[in-house]
Amino acid sequence: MADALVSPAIAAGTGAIAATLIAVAASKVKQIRRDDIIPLMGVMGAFVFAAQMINFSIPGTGSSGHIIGGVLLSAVLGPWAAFITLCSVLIIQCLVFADGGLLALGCNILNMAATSCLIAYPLIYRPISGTSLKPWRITAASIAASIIALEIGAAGVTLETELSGITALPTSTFLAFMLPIHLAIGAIEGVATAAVLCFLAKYRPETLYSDYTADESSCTGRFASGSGRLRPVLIGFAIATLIFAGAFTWLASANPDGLEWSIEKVSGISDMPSATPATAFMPDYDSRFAGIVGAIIVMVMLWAITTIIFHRVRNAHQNSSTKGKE
Amino acid sequence: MKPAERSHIGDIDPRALLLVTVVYLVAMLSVPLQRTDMIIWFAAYPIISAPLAHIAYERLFRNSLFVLPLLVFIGIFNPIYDRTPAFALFGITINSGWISFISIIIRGLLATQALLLLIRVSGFNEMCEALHRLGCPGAIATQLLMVYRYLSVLLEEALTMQHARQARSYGKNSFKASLWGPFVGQLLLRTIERSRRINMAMKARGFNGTLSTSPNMHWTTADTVYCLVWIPVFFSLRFIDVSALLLTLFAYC
Amino acid sequence: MNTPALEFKDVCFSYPGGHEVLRHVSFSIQPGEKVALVGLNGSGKSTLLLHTNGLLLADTGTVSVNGKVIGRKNVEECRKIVGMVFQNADDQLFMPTVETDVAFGPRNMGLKEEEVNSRVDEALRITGCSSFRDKAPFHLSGGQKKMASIATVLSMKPNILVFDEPTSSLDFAAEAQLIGIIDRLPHTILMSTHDMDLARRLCTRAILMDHGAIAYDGPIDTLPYPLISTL
Repeated sequence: MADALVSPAIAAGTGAIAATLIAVAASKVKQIRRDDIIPLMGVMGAFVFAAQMINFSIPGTGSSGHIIGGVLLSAVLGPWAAFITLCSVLIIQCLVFADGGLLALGCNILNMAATSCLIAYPLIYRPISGTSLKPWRITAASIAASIIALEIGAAGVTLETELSGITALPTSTFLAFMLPIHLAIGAIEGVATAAVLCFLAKYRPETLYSDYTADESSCTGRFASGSGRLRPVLIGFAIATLIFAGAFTWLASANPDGLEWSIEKVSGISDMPSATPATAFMPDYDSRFAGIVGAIIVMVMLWAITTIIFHRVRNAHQNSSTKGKE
Repeated sequence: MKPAERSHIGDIDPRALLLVTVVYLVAMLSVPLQRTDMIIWFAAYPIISAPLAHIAYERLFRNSLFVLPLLVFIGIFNPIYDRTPAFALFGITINSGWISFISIIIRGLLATQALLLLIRVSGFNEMCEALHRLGCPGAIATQLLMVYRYLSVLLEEALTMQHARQARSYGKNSFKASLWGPFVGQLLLRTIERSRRINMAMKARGFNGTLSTSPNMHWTTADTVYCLVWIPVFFSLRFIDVSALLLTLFAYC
Repeated sequence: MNTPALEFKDVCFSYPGGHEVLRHVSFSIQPGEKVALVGLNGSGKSTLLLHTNGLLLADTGTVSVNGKVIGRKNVEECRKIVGMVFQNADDQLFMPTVETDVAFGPRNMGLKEEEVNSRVDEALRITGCSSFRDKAPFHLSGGQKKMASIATVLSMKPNILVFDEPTSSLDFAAEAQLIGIIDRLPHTILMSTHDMDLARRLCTRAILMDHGAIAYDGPIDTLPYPLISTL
């Protein structure tokens, strides 16, 4: 997802859900009593980038481009730590490589990190693989979980783009287009995940995640009761956010441009073309075209002016610095 | 990526830059797709800010073009499905689908340019600190710093392994699927091993669970001014029909 | 005789499910002594070093620092006394910049900001890292990384410095610089190394490890090092 494909309303809604999930995950990770979890999550995040450099003989195309995904991370780190790790990967892709957008971050976190770590891993992978280290079970679990994660993610992309009112493509057509592509990508990712996990299960099974938190709650009662008090609050907060975000998104979808609508309501000002003075003065269509041309002309002029100033300042800088050296 | 060296807005607090960028994106992305002219006005922000950050706008523009394929891919369906006529130009009717297509391209490029500006001006580590101070949980701020720190180390490790393999693979550039798993698994094991060593180095220096970075980050008057200049500009661009104003002005002259 | 800075008494250790790595290791190091720990790969040098500041705890026997036996309760305290420089500088430098990394230890000790800053300045000055204090580890050369990782430990003002293979992966120029810096340090030093030139330059005493046990402990000049392969 890129910024261009979301409306601010959708960005706010998905952002709110993503932020809540991150807060919950952060508190969950704090409860993990494995003392190397902080450096482990850190280097595993970097590993995701590194592993992507190692190319695969089946050509992998597609919107997500993450062959190493949440299912593999979850199988090593556990779902919550994996979620935080994958979120950090997505944030770095955005804030370092400008890949994916700042406002689309919430969408990306939900579509890629939440689906794989918080839905596909606990609901698909764990039940199928169990605690077994048999390759066929790991393979089946990885493929099923990856496909489900990517399909839900693809549906998410479709839904968010449609609700943002960006594309004229009908939802059903969009879905019919996205789902098969992501079925293929999911299958490839599943096979890749399985290949790595089978290797780990065979040579270093202790690196695979087994429920630390469950062990901890049984041996340290204090912590268990502490999280017990916290849990209802967190769940309540999460549900409230979901309802809020859902309502917000629904409002946004009921009106193609949700923010527009709410601002109109609040301020009583409408900036629809029919109400502007310009349309009273000129026929709408022509003024629209003239407006575009005018805007382009002004921007080009602005560009020219700033470029000239920029070069002049830079030359002045260089002159003064060479003088300084002499 | 290195922050721009000693630029005019390089001293601005990353929180201010982040805030201005977010307001810019919200204002720009909330413009209806049919109002291409209004979206174009928003180009003023990168065009003015880029030189202030010692970046030629030309370069920023060129760097932002990498999103073009995605934008075209999503946007191209609009002219196909939305054939409502919008205006006629020299006898040719332009569909509103084409207008929204152009709008998607422009807003995509501008959003990327704003993001690139933010990245070039403030270093990643400062941005993490800013995020932390804006209420992002400590766990994720620490996590971001760690990932960023070990990104280059692990990329180098992967590259070394890759070269070691290439040296013995006689020109085959990609992996057989059956070898890929063990290879990446090996990299994963090395990664886990490294985390164990880092953990020891951290514990040896008294690590107790929270990374505390430098506390010097001060919000100055310059930051307030920076926000107070740009944010009203974005609001005006969003809610005032600048093109129409200009046209009326021309008409009166 | 005064209390030894570091003392191992009949220490045995094995990794969980593994073979015995340390077998009845006993030695003591006096304050100000410079000791080289030599031996083949896998002879237990690194494992021994990890016992000096409680990163590993002995199965049987005791390790004491300044006369105090290291146990679970005083690990934090003994880590302030024993500073450890790890083999791989990339593992040691985990913070975004050299400066924040050097400040990491003092900040964890709960010192005031002025004290932290003065310690950071001093450590950077001693190791010659002041000129690149704001840089990220990614932008440093191997030698610079090594000096910086020594600074991260010096800022905690330990009495005892423990080095694990300090010159591995350094070129000769960086090695010469490193020797110059270590030579001037007044600390008690224990370093594991394969580099006999380095050991002879910096240390007066050598401990030779073989299959987890001490095979030689005495002046470095009489160390039967070339014969080690026949052991």
